[in-house]
Amino acid sequence: MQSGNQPESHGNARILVVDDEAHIVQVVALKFRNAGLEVETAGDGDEALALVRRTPFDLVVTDLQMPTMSGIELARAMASDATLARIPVLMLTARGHLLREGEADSANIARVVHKPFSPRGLLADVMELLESSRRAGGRTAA
Amino acid sequence: MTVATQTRSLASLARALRAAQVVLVPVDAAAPLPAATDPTDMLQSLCTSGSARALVARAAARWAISSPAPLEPREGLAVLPVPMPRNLSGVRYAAVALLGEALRSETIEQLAHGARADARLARTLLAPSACWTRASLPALASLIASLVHSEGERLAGEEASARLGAAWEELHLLHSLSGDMTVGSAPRVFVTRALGELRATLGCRWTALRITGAAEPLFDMSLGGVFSDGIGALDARRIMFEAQAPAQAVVASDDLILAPIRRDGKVLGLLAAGGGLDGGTAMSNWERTLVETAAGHLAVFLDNARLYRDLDAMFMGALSALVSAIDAKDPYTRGHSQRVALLSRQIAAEAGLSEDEVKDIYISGLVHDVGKIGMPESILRKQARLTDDEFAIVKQHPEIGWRILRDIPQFASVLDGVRHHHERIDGRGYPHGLKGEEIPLAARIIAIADTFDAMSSTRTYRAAKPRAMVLAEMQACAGTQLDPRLVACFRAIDLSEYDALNQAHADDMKEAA
Repeated sequence: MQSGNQPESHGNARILVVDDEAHIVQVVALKFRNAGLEVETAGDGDEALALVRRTPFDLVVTDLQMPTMSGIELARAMASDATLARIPVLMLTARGHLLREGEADSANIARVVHKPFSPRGLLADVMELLESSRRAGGRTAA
Repeated sequence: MTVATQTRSLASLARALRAAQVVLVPVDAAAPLPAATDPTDMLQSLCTSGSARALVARAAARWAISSPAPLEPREGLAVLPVPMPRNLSGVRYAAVALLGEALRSETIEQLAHGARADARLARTLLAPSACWTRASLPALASLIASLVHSEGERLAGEEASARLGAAWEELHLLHSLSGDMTVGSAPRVFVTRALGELRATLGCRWTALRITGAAEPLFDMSLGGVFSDGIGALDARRIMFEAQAPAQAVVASDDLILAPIRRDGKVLGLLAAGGGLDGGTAMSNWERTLVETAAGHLAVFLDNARLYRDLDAMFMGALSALVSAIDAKDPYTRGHSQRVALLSRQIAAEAGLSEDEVKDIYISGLVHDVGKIGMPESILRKQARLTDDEFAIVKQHPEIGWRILRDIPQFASVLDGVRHHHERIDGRGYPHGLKGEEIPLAARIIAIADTFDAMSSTRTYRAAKPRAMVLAEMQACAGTQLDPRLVACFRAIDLSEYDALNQAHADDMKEAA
């Protein structure tokens, strides 16, 4: 939300957006693309896991409650895979749904955002996470 | 629909057509080509050469006067109309395709010449692209129509997503504003938060609010009643005083939106958002809607705060009137309740209690002697020493006061001070003989204020004592009658306000006499 979020500084960043609700994927993907990010989408955790294993991503934005594989299960699967463990995960949850103590840490969840969220605010969060993972030596810096 | 979206859409359409060996060309020979154009692509170069574009422009001129159907201006070169969907209107396009069976060397030579390419090389490279036939042109026309249609649908979907996203922004703003909007929360705190939320949601440089009219009594107006976020106070004041308040929310310029704050015909202020948006886009009607929404919330909040303030003032006024009526039963206690309330408030604040607690203790101090309403005036005004029976009656006043007030639910938090202000730390007080911290804090505070005022003013049975003597006596009572820590707090307060009030009451008394 600060004016420092120039999209061009993350022009090459690749984001995976995962949600079983198509309209949420659409809104989030559009917001990110308009900010110059490269966006792939997935409709559930299985599809998302297959995608992150196939091509590199800088960040994953995922819904928590999804059929077949939940956002937590996806994040855990990524955290336990040495090649994927460094990709930060931003979790979207319904307001009032709280993660259990320690759950966020054990699954490498970098941030939790509650629905209904502000797309602008979500973009600001993503830019911030990309910036800190870039400084920590993530994929973009390599 | 932004220019960037349109450009992206045309590029994706051009790519899809190119995969079918068809080139998308603007009918206006001077218009720029779609962004996806690859200059090393032979088909692309030839179909967008100057001579090809002249043929396309001529075809379009014919479509303007007859039905738009596929044309073949040179043998083997087909030009088809591209029926753009409404959300991609603006620039008109044609599709150019090569027809393998009919393609003449002259046609390729003419195009190659226009594109400054070698004709023989062009013929070799173009062989796989010349895959359409005259007979398949209707099929190609329908393929183009459906590609264009699905691109239009995709754009409509994107438009819907953008609107949905905008609606979420608005929802988010409403959610955070109404979360902060509790009556009784300080107006200054609420407006400051609202300005911050609005600025963050809009992504603009600054937001500002100027308080006017009926909302003025809610604020300290000495600084002009202007609040701002993201801009210096001086700049905000200059802008807000120069701005003409519009009748409705307006986009006043590319970087300024103004919205009046009004409720039931009363003007309460002016809200502004300005300085341009992050990314440099101009402010639009979408931002105006959000500012209008925030102005609506501010109007409700300010009006409620005003009503709350009015009710509170009426309540305190009614309470003071009631208390004066009680104090009037005994001319020597005139103003006593107000002075005790004042001192109690000062001690409570000195002891570090919260704003709400301080106010409760003030009210409790104001009504602490309400039970005297049930005491005979003959006892209250008696100049001689009271008999044991008479004193037993006087000792009932805290309990009577408590009974009078206990059925008012809103007074629950002030009852303790009324019932227990005659208890003593050593347990020798009345009505219940409570000890130390068993005595509610409010009651221990009021006991100090009550004792001080009793000794400092003239009573039926004696004249006022000098200040130094009063303070010494209070110090002596610390630990037996009074809570020593609170006596220390009392010693720290400034008594000038008390002295002024005491003087005013004394003057009233002289006037009445």
